[in-house]
Amino acid sequence: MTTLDEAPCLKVENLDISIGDAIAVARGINLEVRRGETVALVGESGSGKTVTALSLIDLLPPPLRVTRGTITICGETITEATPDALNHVRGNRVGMVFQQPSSMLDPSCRVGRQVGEALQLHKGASRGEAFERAVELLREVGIPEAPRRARSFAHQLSGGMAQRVMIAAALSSDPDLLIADEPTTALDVTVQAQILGLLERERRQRTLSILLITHDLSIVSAMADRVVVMYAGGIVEEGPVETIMRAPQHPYTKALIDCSLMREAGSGDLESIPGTIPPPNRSIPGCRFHPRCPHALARRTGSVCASSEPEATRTAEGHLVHCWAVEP
Amino acid sequence: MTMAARSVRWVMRQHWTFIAGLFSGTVVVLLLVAAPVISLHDPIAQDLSMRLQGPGGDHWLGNDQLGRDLWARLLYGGRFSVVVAALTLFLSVTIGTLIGAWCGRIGGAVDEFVMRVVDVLISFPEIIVALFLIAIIGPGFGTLVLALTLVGWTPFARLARGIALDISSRDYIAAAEVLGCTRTFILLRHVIPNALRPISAMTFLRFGHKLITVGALSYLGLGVQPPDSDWGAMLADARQFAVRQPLLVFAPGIAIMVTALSVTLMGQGLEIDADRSRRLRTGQS
Amino acid sequence: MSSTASPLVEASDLVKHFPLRGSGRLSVRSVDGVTLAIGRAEVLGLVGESGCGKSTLARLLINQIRPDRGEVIMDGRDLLAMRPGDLRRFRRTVQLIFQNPEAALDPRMRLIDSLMAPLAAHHAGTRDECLEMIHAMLGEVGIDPGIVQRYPGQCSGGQLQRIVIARALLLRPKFVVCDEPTSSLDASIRAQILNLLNDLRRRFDLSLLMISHDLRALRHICDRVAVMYLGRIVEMAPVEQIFQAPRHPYTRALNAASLLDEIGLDAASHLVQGEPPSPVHPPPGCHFHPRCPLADETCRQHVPALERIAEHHEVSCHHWRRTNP
Repeated sequence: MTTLDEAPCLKVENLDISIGDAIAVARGINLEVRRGETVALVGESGSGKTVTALSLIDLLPPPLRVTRGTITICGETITEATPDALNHVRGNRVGMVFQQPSSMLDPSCRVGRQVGEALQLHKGASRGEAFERAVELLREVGIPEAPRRARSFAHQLSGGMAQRVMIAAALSSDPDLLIADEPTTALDVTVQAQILGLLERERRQRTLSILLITHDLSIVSAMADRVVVMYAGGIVEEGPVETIMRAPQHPYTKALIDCSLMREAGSGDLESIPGTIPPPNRSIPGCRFHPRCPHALARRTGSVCASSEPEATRTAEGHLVHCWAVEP
Repeated sequence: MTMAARSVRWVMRQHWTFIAGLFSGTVVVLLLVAAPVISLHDPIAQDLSMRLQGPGGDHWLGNDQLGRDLWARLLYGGRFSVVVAALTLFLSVTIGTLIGAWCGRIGGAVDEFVMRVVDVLISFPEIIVALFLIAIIGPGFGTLVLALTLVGWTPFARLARGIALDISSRDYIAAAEVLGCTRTFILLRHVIPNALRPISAMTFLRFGHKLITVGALSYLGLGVQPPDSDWGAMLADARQFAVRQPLLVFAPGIAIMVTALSVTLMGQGLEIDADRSRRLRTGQS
Repeated sequence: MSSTASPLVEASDLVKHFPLRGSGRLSVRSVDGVTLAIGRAEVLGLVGESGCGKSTLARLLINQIRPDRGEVIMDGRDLLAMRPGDLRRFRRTVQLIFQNPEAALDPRMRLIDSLMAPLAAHHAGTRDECLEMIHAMLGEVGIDPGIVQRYPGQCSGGQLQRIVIARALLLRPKFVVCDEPTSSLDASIRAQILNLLNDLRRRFDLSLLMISHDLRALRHICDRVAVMYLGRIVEMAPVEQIFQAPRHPYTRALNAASLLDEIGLDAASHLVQGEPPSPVHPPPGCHFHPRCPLADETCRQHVPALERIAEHHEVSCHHWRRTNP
């Protein structure tokens, strides 16, 4: 599935994202998605996962902006690219699927035209060719009666259908990388599995790389090859999905998996993490998780956890943990 | 730069429309309140020898066609214009907000009926209603306030009803109902406080309009009666002498404009502010 | 479960259709003949997808909206026959906890005023007595009394949900409806709130109706679970049965979808096809037949009755014998 010698499809190095110049919402992000691989970027609200995803295609709404670091997509460094080059990358290399499909589709434009739009813009297809190709794509993503559906408007589609249309539009330019930001959060649970199944099928058929942004660890364990866990703007742990789900090293990852899968603690209560998620404008010295951390080291006053930020520790091939309590 | 200076600059940049409006509005109000102190002359004392004199001496803006001091007349006349506009607006807002919010909350046939009445009233220009009332009960301060309020409450009722309908669909209203709060409590503690900001923005924006309507009625001779005067009446009187002494027209004209503008600026500042805080709340940037 | 004593809430054959504006006789068939009972100190889960009528059912049970047909008996009294004065007193005994706590609190009111309002509305005591009750309740829900001087915008979602729970419990209700109380919260906070609700229901002897679209959130807290599809209850059983031996094909699909990590994507995506149809034009016969892998001619024509297949286990499917757990 993944060949290590190939250049990664997406590479992010030392990325910082801030509101204006002052408040950092993501710091020191390193990320790599290899060809044909699904990487899940996991975190709760305020973890910085969505801003990180938006920064990859330069869609950060001001005053948010990238203040440091490089982003490389298919060999093109987009943090230094000209607007034209950036557009080329966006149109030919990357597809994006968002959480709210109905609000991402233009209500006054027929679905088929919207799906074909990228082909007209980036591949020089004529209007007719683009429409024909759009119908094919709609059929591919499992829309029944595709030729008729292509002539309907977004509001005539159910949530699941609209998300299929969004996926068709994202795939229309034959991208190498698909960024899916909570693609099933707005959908009913029985539709969720169908949409995830569709993404998985497309990944296999097209050797697509997928960056899946989600807060739901049951989706992660069903979909991802590798997992990157973020907390309060920084990466806390990353590694292969089996390792992360079975033997997480970072206390936050452990707790998040238990909470997300609603596991019971010994006392009969559900596992939970005490305290609240810090808002982005509060800076926490040392490890960002230490005020909520159950580990004994973090509890000790004046410990290293409270004073300096932990560096990445490599515990196994491809498994990095940012925690002072973890031995290499 | 000190912290204080920096934060003043920040406030100025964020709210400059409101601050500019507040500043000029305050100046106007202070001038009108202090009229007896700062004007050296009686506004109705005639001195035909000084007829249509330009500015000079202790007549800072000169004299009108009957030799009355223009500066004094401007200050005293402004009191009338501004008081009528402010009073009608106050009555309109109070009546309109209460009726509108109440209709929005109860709905049904009463709401339907009141809103059709509003539709009818709103389709009459204020001036026509005022003319009609003046024809029946004669001109004067009371008639003017009554006439302008009669039509003036309707836009506020519409706005308040819309906001009340919007607020009624919020969860915190459902919560209050489930918790057993009374209708009056919900109206007074939840609906009206939440409606206040957009309504006050609209109040400021309507003020200029009111001031001009009062001016227009007086211009037509239907507002304040001689020898008292207001800015509209002054404009009307000055009409024939505009060529010989343009200041007679410009002074009340500019006074109306500055006052209307400063209040409108405040309103706009409030609206921008409301918009900004709404966007901050919903988390968009 | 308390099947011996008479249930606290009994609803029979509840129907609520909302007419569609400007479309003649069409209506949204939100709740279409629901009968259920909730015992004293029992927690009933109600699970279903968006538009299945679960929130409407909840609002019928607490008499926030009136049904077109059917009756609700609470504590032996007919809710729909109550006079307005009795109804206001009745309000004290049922409460609602909302999905989004931030929306359930007036953004322009300090939290303390929001907490005070229901006590004042029911003349619960002097101001000092009320303050004392509020402080005691804040202790129960684990909130530092210092934050009640703040506005909702200055607190986190978890804190606000605790405040909303405290406000509901201040009136000492017997029955609390929780409408997706954790779906707007992050995983780490969600577990805290579910633990809190579980703890409070024991200490206050509460009956709860827990509404959710996610079966997993119900597993820990519920005694029984009712599964709703397009206005009707399709299966109702003790919580272990729903998870270990679901009989309705829809329950099985929901189960698989909520437990993706255990069941796997391939298995989960084959249990159900398509999407929920519109409640304006529900399919004839069994509402679920267009999406059901077991559907045949009987399903297309006849509405299955809610059948009792074991003690406390009811299912509405022509083929429940074929769905081996």
